[in-house]
Amino acid sequence: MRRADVTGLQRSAPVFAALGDPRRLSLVQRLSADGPSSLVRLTEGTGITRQGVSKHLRVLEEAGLVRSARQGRERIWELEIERMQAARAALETISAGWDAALGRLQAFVEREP
Amino acid sequence: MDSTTNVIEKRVTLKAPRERVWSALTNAAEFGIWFGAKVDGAFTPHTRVEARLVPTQMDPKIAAMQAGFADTPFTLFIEEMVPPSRFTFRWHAYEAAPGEPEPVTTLVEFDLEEAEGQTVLRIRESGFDKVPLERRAKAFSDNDGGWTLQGQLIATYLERAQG
Repeated sequence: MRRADVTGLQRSAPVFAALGDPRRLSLVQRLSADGPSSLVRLTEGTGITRQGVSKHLRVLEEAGLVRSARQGRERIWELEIERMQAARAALETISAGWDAALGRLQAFVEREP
Repeated sequence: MDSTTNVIEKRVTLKAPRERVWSALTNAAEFGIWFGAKVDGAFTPHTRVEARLVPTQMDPKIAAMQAGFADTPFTLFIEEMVPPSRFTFRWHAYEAAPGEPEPVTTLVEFDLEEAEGQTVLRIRESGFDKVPLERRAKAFSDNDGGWTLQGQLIATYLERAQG
């Protein structure tokens, strides 16, 4: 295995773990719908504290799914679109693998015994 | 992106009796034919079975496509076998490199239901949040368009078989 693959590997595992929490998923959905947002705005209507939201954003940041930048007195959060797409593409490849395997299973069991 | 990032689910109705489908899934030799694998040993609950990817015996055109990743080893950790309705195993489709931890497994579940002489098969693969996914995807996509192109070939194959 090439060195580059190891790096890709180590970076990919946390993505799905990070998205495994409904509150983090809803933060991702919010950033996706609203674009770059401040912590205050991301906390609105969530029913959890700013510290709580901040903690979830840090998990997403460690997985490479969001990034933040200071803008004046606020920190603005936004999605890392490419990282999200890479994660989804990997799962879709495996899903397509199952479709192909099921096609072969179907041909196998439906032909005369 | 929704909560399906951790799970792949498929459902297909097969025009074959449930016992026939059960046999195709759980008889290691039959499994090898449609999946495209050479399996060493039989499937029995709570055992570990070694296998290698081999070109499918179903179609020469598809076999040619698969030649590029022939001999890739993988391990099946058989869990439940409840004939003729439920078969589950864990697996990982890549080898750990030296110094890399033992690869994490995903859980594959096959559930079979009878429907007027036909069989409704549901497949669920879960646990991707724990797995270095790019590795598995890579195993299937390395070969010139890999599984996607293969899927198209299979559609053609099925149409031809029915026509």
